[in-house]
Amino acid sequence: MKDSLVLLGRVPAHPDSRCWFLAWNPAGTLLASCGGDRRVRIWGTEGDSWICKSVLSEGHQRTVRKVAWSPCGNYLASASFDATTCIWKKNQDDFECVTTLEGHENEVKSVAWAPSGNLLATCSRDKSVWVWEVDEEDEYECVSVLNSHTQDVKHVVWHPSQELLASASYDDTVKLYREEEDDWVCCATLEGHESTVWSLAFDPSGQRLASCSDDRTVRIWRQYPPDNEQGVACSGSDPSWKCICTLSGFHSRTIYDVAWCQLTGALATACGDDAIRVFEEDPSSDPQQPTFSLTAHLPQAHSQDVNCVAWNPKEQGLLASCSDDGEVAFWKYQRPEGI
Amino acid sequence: MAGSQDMFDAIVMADERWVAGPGQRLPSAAEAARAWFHGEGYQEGYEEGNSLGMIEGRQYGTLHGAKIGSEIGCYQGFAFAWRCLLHSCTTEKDSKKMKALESLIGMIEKFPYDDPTYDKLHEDLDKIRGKFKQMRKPRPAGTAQSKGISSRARTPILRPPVTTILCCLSWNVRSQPWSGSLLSGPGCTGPHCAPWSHGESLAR
Repeated sequence: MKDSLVLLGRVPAHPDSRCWFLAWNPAGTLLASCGGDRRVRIWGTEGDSWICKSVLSEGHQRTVRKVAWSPCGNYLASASFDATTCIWKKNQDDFECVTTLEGHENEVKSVAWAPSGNLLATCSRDKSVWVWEVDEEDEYECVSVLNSHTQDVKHVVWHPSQELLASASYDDTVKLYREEEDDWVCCATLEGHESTVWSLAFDPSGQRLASCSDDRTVRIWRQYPPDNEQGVACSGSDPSWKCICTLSGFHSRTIYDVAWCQLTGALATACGDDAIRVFEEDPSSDPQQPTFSLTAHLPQAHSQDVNCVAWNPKEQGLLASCSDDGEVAFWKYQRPEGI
Repeated sequence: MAGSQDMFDAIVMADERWVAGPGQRLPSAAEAARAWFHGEGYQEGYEEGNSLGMIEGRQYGTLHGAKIGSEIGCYQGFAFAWRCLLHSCTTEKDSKKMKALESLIGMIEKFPYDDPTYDKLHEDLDKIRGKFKQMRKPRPAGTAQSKGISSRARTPILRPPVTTILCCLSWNVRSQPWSGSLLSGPGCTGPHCAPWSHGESLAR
C-alpha cells in the first residue's frame, strides 16, 4: 500500500496563500487552480514538468473558492467570495472574462457546469442554489433560485449524464434538484451526516453519489427508481436515495473533498489531517451493501489541510491535490495487486 | 371586611389541611398567610401579564405582518410593472421571462395573507423571494459591458427603456426598510448591510 501513491511533482501554485480547488479540463491537458490570492492559474506540462500557462488575475476582489471547466473545454467558471462568478473564455493560452454573474448576496462557494453545457449552477453562503441557463450568444440567465437549504451551501455538482443537480450544505444534508415545468424543484434530501457536508462526487454511472463531511465519514448513496426490486420506498415518480455504505474510522479530521475517478472507479479523499487516501470497492461485495478497502494512504501529502483532490479525466491514476500550504501536487496512483 | 375574612378562612383551612405527621411541625399562621397571598398574587399577575402579552403580541404581529405584506406588495408591483412592459415583446427570451413573471404572480396570489398559522407560510415566502431574485436581474452585469451593442441591437427600441425602468424599480426596492436582508451585497452600503461577516482567513 505504501508505494501505491507516488509523487510526480509539486508546484507552489498560490504562494503565501491557500490553494482551494482544482479542475482538470475535459481533455485532461490543463489543470486550473484557484486560491486565496484572488487568482486562478492554469497549469500544463512542458516535458516532464508542470508549468503555469496563464494567470487570471483581474476577475475577483476576494478569494476564488472553486473553478469549473465547461464540458467543451472552452470556458472556465470561477466562484468567488466577492459574491460573483466569472466566466472566462479561452483563446489559446489567453483567458478573457466575458461575463460576471451577480445575484448572490454574499460568498459564492461553488460552481458547476451541467453535462450539456447549457446550464450552470452556483451556490452561496446566502443558503441558496442558483441555476443559470446559457444561450447561443453566451448570455446567462438565472432560471431558478432554490432556497431549500437552511444554511451555507458548500458545494454543487451535476449528474454525469442527466440534468440532476446535487448540493451539499452546512445544514448537514445533501439535496437533489430537477427541472419541473419551467422551474427547478428539490426532489430529494439525503440525511445522515452528523456535520457539514463539504463535497460530493457521482460515480461514473451516476447511480451512486459519494459525500464527505466534517463528521469524518464518507457516505455512499445509491439511487433506487420507483418499484425497485429491493423494495426501497419511493414517493411518487422520484427515485429515492439510500445510504448503502459509510466509510468511517479512516479519517482523523474533516474530509474536505471526495473524487470518484470516472475511468477506474477509485475514490480519493482530501482530509484536514494533511493526508490523501484512496479507496477501492471490493469487487466481490454485494452491490446493495458494497464494501470499500483503503488502498493508498499518504499521511503527509501536504504540510497543511488538503482541500481538494482531482482525478485526471483521461490519464488513469493521475491525481492532483492542493492544500492550505498553497501548493499543488501531482500523484501517480497504482492500484495494489491482489485487489 | 370580606378580604380579611377570606384570609382568616384560608389560615384556618390551611391548618386543617396540613395534618402533621409524626415529628412534623404545623405551618405557622404567617406561613399560611404568605402562601395564600402568593397564590392570589400569582393569579393577579397572571391575568395582568396575559393582557400585556396580548397587547405586545398584537403589536409584534401587526409589525411583522405589515413587513411581510409590504415585501410581497413590492414584488407584486414589480411583477405587474414588468408584465406591462413585456406585454408587446415577442422574442423567445421575453416569453420565458413572461412565464416566470406569471409564475411569480400566481405564487403571490396564492399566498395566504389571512392565515398566519399556515404551516408552509415561510416556505412559500422563500419560494416567492427566490422567484423575485431570479427575475430581479434581467441580465448579468458583465454582459452589458462586453456585449452591450449586440444584445441591444436585437430589440433596439424596447431594450433600453425596459432596462432603465427596471433600474428605477430596483432602486426603489433597495430603498425599502427591509432591503438590508433582501438585497444586501457588495453594491449595497446601507446600515443593514454587513456583507462580509467573517474574516478571509477563517472562512471556508
